[in-house]
Amino acid sequence: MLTVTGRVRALAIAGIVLSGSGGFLIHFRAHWIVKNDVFVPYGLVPLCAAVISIIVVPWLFAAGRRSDLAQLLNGMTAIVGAIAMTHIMIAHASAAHFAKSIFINGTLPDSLLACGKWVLGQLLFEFDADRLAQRGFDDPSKRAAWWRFLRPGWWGIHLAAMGGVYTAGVFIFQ
Amino acid sequence: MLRYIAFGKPGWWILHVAAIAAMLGLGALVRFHS
Repeated sequence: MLTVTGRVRALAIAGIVLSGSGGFLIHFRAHWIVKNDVFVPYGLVPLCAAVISIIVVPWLFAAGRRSDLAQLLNGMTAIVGAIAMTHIMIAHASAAHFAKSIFINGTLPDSLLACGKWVLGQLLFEFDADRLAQRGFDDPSKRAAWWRFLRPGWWGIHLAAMGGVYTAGVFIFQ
Repeated sequence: MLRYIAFGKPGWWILHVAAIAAMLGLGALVRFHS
């Protein structure tokens, strides 16, 4: 019989699998690996992200000892996806039908799905943070270090920095 | 367990330079495909 923690962990892992599967199917609408009998390498990007989100990350979380690596992969796929989809949303936004182009036809719902996946992963990571601290990992209770590795501030810094580098890439390679 | 890569260590620099190159490339890739 699973403990309360075990049951919550199992539900959160199921949530990651479900949201990862949803993201994979949404990607499949837009990105084809083969289009008009021509191989499109770009189509492999969402497929790789889906393999990480649906298979690798839940497996690492379920194994129990690798929550740090699991959340690093889970959060990075969420951040990179959210950054790229925000770019796509802005690029396709219409001035005449702004709200509709953002909230209904845009990729904001997809970005929010990725954010939900990050929250579930962070929840799973928090369950194991104390145990990881016993092995020399940053102890969240002893240091008020919100910006340390895998803490929420660390994610915020990386979201901003990666967004900035991505934006530079958009403008440099015109 | 994941080994913590301390700020400023060689591994940290390798990881971050690779990540910056990857993000620059992704920005350019999405730019050309959207």
